[in-house]
Amino acid sequence: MDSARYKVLVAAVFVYCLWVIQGYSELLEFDREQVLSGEIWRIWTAHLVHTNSSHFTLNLAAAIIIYFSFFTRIKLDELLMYGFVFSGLISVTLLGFYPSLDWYNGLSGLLHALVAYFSVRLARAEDKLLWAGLVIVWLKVLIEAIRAHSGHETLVGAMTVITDAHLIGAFFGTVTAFICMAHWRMTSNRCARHR
Amino acid sequence: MRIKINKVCLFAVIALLLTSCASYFGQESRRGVSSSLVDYLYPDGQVPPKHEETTPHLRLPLTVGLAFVPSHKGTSFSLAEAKKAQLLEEVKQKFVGLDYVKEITIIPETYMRSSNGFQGVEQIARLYGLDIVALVSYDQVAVTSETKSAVLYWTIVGAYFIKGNQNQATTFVDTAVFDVNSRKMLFRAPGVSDIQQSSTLVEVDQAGREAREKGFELAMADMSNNLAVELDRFKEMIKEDKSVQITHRQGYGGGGGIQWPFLLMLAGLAILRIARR
Repeated sequence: MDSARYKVLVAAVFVYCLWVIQGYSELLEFDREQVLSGEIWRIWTAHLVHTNSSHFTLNLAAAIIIYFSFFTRIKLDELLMYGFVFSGLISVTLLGFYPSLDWYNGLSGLLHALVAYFSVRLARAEDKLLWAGLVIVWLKVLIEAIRAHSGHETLVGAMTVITDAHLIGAFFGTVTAFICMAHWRMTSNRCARHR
Repeated sequence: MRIKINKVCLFAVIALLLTSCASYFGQESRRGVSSSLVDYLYPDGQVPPKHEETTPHLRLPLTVGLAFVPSHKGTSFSLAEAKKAQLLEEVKQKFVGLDYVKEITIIPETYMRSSNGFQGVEQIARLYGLDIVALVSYDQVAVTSETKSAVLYWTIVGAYFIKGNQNQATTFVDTAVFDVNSRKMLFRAPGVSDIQQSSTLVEVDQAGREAREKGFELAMADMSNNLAVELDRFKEMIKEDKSVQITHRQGYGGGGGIQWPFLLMLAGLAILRIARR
């Protein structure tokens, strides 16, 4: 199977799986009480379920655009690994630093983390245009943070958008990208010296 | 002579029977049922207090009570309590998913009847832990009249097969949403319906009842739609004029959501990337 077909197939399977699990949001979303009572899977699955159809549609549209513009050169196993790490980091931060947040769901926090991470990585490696991706993400989360601070409530349908999740995602994505790059640079310098 | 007397008696009996039949057919009946929000909140001729400049304070998510305003005593016909509960349940289902609504509780009319005025509403609010109450008042007039084809009822068989009765139910419902603490009305929404259906003479009571129930169902559905519109308008209004103070309770929730501007920026970036390849 050629690469393009494989990527379309991956995207189609992802969309289908995501669509199927939307019916189980009560079982899968981040629910503080349930997480603390031992339902640990919610830390990761919270990012896959959504509150309403507009929430799901917008996040899905963003995920597809991001996949085909950023991630087509990223191996699937790597994408899954970073997805797992970032979703865990976002949920644990919400759990620890936002004690009044009872519940959370949605893919966008994770998307912010992945866009921030891969923008830095791919911008350094191949396409300088992707620095724009990082700038867009950070401009967006900063504007959201300022507006939230001034009492503005962002809504998708009737659902309140937890913009803090975007900020946390962008933060972890960017920090992880710079740490990884520093690590790889040190490793490659060491290898060069050994040669 | 006896034959003459017999004939006169026979004609008298026939005339009497025809008169009773004539009184049975050809009448229009008009009945109504209503409940008044003002009478309920200000009973015994109480005068509403002067307008005060208090700002309602809503702490999200809200616990909402939904109830019919009790109808006047001695009303000839009214919806059954179970039917009212079913109608309120349908309204509830339309708004139950809202993020800023924690719970919608349907309050039985028997609870509403036990007391009236704002004191009564506050007692119920304390009982159910409500922040706001949505009170549904109504007015329905049902008219049953006969059409020209009702003349065939004289054949007796026609009463069973000819749809010569017209049953009309005109219904108006109005939902007013109040903040319990400040006693201020936040917004209101009306709903109307007009049902007409024909029936045979023997089915007239059943058809009339069905028309009245259907009238309530359609008016409540219309009111639900208007309520959603009014709710959106109310949200926009309080953002601008700050006439209602909104705060979040400890323990809120929501989702991570992408919005159109960001989506368009991402799409632009994707197009740029594709163009550069």
